[in-house]
Amino acid sequence: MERYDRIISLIWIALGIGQCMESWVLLGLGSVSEPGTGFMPFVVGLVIIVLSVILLLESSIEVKKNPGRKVSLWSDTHWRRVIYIVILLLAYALLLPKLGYLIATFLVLVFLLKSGEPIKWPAAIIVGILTSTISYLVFGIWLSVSFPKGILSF
Amino acid sequence: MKKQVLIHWVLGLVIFFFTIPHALAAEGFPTKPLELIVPFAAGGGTDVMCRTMVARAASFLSNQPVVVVNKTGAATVAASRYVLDGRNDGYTLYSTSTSSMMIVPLMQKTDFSWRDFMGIAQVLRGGDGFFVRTDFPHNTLEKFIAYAKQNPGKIKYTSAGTGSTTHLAMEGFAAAVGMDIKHIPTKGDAEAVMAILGGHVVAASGSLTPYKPHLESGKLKCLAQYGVERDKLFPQIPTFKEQGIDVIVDLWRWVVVPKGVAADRVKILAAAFKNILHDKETLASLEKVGNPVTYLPPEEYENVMKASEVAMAKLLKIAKMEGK
Amino acid sequence: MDLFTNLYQGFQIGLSPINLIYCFIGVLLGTLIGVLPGIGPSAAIALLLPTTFRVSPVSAIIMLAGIYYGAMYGGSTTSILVNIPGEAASVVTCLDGYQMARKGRAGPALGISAFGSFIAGTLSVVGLMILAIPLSNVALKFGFPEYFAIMCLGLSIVSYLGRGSIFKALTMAALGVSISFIGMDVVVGKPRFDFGLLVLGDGVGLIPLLMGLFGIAEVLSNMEQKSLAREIFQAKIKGLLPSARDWIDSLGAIFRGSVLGFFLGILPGGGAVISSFISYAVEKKVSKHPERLGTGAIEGVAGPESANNAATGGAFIPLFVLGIPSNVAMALLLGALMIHGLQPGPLLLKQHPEIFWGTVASMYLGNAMLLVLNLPLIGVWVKLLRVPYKILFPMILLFCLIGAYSVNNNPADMLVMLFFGVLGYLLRKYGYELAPLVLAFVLGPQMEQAFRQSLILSDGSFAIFFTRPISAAAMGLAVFLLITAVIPTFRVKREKMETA
Repeated sequence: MERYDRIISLIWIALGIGQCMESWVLLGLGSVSEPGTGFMPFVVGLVIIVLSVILLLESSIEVKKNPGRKVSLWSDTHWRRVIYIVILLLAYALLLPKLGYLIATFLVLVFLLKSGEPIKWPAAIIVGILTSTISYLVFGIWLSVSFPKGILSF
Repeated sequence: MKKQVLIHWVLGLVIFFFTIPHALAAEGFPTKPLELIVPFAAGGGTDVMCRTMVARAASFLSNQPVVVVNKTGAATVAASRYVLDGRNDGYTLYSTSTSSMMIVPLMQKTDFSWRDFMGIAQVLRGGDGFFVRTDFPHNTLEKFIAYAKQNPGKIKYTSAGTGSTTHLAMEGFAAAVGMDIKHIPTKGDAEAVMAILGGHVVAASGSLTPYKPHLESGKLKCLAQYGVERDKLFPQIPTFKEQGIDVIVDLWRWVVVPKGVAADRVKILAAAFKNILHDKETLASLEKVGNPVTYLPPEEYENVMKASEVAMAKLLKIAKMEGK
Repeated sequence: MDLFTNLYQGFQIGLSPINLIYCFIGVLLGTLIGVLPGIGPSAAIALLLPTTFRVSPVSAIIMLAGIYYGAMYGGSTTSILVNIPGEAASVVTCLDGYQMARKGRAGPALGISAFGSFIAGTLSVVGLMILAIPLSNVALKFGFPEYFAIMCLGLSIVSYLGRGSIFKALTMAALGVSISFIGMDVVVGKPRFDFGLLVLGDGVGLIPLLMGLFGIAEVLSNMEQKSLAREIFQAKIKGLLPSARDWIDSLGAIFRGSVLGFFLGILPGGGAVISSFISYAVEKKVSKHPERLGTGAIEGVAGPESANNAATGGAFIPLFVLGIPSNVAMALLLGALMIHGLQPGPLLLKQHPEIFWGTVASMYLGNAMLLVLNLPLIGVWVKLLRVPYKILFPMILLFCLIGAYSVNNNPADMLVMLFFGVLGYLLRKYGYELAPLVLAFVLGPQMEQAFRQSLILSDGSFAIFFTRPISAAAMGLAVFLLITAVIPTFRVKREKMETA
């Protein structure tokens, strides 16, 4: 249990409260003999609150015992790379309909490859072309997954 | 003289060139496979019926197959939206039913309705009923109603799902005769069948097909059908109407296309489906899966839809299930 | 004796050359498709159903059974190799299977998975032979309260799944149930918690969730590591097949998993999923070194894999005896039978016993075929892992993207997957286990539905869960398990506080 566990417990508590509120107000709890839409979500929301309070207590006790420790989970990691990859994937999802499968896949593959351990451009481009074409054949043609065509219509 | 000939020639050519694309378009259709969108999951009743129906469609559509595509989600709304927002070039067909075109739009007040589609062919009509356990002491319609009236809220029944034709029919039935029965929602006929077989409920409302084996084995009895007339496969079961209860829940299935498809393509599709639904082999297979065909041509679409809409709206009101 | 003549007849049908070929094709196609992302057994059957139209009913069923088993095994393959479960029943396999792969033991993992499935399949055939009719009656006794109780029991197992704090695991379970609330409410038919997004209108898809939480999150975790050139699967491949030691470790798990799976599989809805989780928990409880589970213990693969295969055998009971499909794949099988003019139900057994027994025999053959087909393939899969991770990871990501997209041909599903990918990555970083979330997510909808159905049935009385024998037993066990799991934590806390 570390410091950050306390913060996360607070997040869960907030989530639980939000869920309870939404269940009560917007969805209606109904009666016990005819439970409404919000009934179970409300109960589960309560459970979340209880559990996260316990977690909060747990981590608070731990932190009190070892006040000096401050563990950063983010030092010595490539967190920038992680964000970059997420952005690339986001872009893929958004641009796929506009660019069409082959182009979008090729681009995302090349950029993903470059984001990892060092790899030369020619190699990345070749892998990109091969993978996008083969995957298109396997999924698009053989399995008839209907990929978007994109403005260049392929 | 020469000038006239020239003008005639030019006129002729102009007309010729203007009609070619039109003619080619008509003749060339379809030039690639068509899609039949089904708003339910693979393996379900609708899905099986559609796949059986189009198994031999290619021979009536210039050798282009019709591929079933399942688009589940949001109680058929996702599929309806997919069809409406897509291209209306005639290559996308949609399998609709009372549920997706009447009940859901009325209950959820969607921004689309059956008017946004054009009918190609009616496939079938009818097929739901109301069942009780044979060992339930009040197992005739009169006894059942009497018992329910004397014990309000005691009888619990299952249906094929909230908002389905089967649910609607029972609520309408209850309202029409003035009894208080409670609906237990399930996710489909399969679950409902287990519940009634296990004795957890005594009554169920559902499509005739999944209950058929248990009618035959004698465990369950069907007290009434919901359609306008008796279903072809169950001629021995009387309808509600015949027994004096003015509740008709018409389950129909149509193949439609979104509005805006070129008229000549609609014609080709209509003709093709007419042939498909009169094809001996297709008819036999469809009967085997419990879906005997009752064909109607596109001209009847509006009539059927209008009548259905009025009836459903009325029933939803009586059953207190209208959308908010 | 009648039983044996029936089975013998069944085998005669199954072993005819043409049916063997269909079985082989089915298993082959099923495995190939099952390995592909987003396509589990149900989708595989749906895709290949048209190919069975031209064929006789028995052959069609045999082929479909082959496809089903093949696809299930394909799903396990990806769980072990790249930590991406093919479907919910393969999630537990990821826990130890993937860890084994990282230690160079992908071969034994895949092998024991195949062998375990085969043995479980055999045992479930035996079970079918003897217990089909009596068990179907038992299945019918499970009404709404009983279902709810079983789900509660399944969730209480959550406490045994993780290696960390119990409360964190329970929180994940609660979160999983909450996520499952997103979408259409079965009772009222109106959407809830969907934040106004159409893609969430029908809830969070299982495939985007799985791909995100396991596939994407795993890649992101690996990519954040600074340890340079750390080949993720660099350890020398230690043999392709399970060793003698492996067999000794796994035999008990296989047997326990098979029994568990078979009986749980009879219940409609999630039989395979629940049984795989429960099997894992049982192995942990039974093991002399419970902390090994989760780091690459072969029992953690053998048990669940056997369980989910045996559950398939169990699922045939309601289908054939009552005509009721217990899951989507069975529903497809039902559809296939109907297209061929056969309606399963009490009469089918009487009128066409050869269909039932032919299917039983073909299931068995399918299992055997799976073994024959896949053992050689293990070598191929393992070679695949030798591809340097820096080239492999974009392909894994693409794999996930296509998988999420192909469920509904909707790019928005990829965004859902991405969301869960980031969420999974963060959760793991902060010490939360993901398996409880998935189990709860899968069980959530059924739990809620069973709960509400029970309350309507009982007119609002909660007593219904405790007055009916089966339900009371299951609820009691669930409470017991939860309490015994939580108490040690309190005891430790008390000790810690005293020494503070």
